[in-house]
Amino acid sequence: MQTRIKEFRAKLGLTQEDLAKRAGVRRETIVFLEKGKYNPSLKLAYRVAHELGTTIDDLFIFEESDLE
Amino acid sequence: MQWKQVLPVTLGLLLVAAGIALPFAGIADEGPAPTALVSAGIAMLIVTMITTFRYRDEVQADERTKKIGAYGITYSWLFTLVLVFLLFWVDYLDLAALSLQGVLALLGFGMILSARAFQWYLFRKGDVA
Repeated sequence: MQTRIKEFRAKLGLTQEDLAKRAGVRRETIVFLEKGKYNPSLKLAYRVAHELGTTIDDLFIFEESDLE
Repeated sequence: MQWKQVLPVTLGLLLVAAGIALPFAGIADEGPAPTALVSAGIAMLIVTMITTFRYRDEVQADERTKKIGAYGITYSWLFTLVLVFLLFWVDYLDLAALSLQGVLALLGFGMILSARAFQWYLFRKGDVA
């Protein structure tokens, strides 16, 4: 899974710490989300997308291989 | 002070008090029990203070950390089950002389250490999948 969290976060001038506080998670969780190493729940995905002013579809990029 | 801090602080104080009271009550005049209780109580108080002040403004647990915590304990439970079977065969085949205290201590430390080890590994990895 790939994400565009870093890109959207940079556009808004937010640090990982800022986004983590807004989403109510630890900074490490944002780090792993950006690296695509953590699969978030639908609720967290929505919360992060909402804080970045975008949608889950725009933020998370799934490929066929990710679903296997 | 929040509920998350009240519980470990109360438990820590109780352990320290129990450790001090045991020799006076004549229950455990000798042996490591009073020292172990006081040490455990003080350790619990110190850890609670550190986590309270150091991570005051941070989220202490989110869905990722809770998930990793739960999986770490699950893997530890499975590890302990294997350990129990191993100890059974060690005893059955007379490979070593096992005392009840030794087995209980081994299982206790095995559970705690393996849970921390699995959680540490999963935290480094990022996710349980």
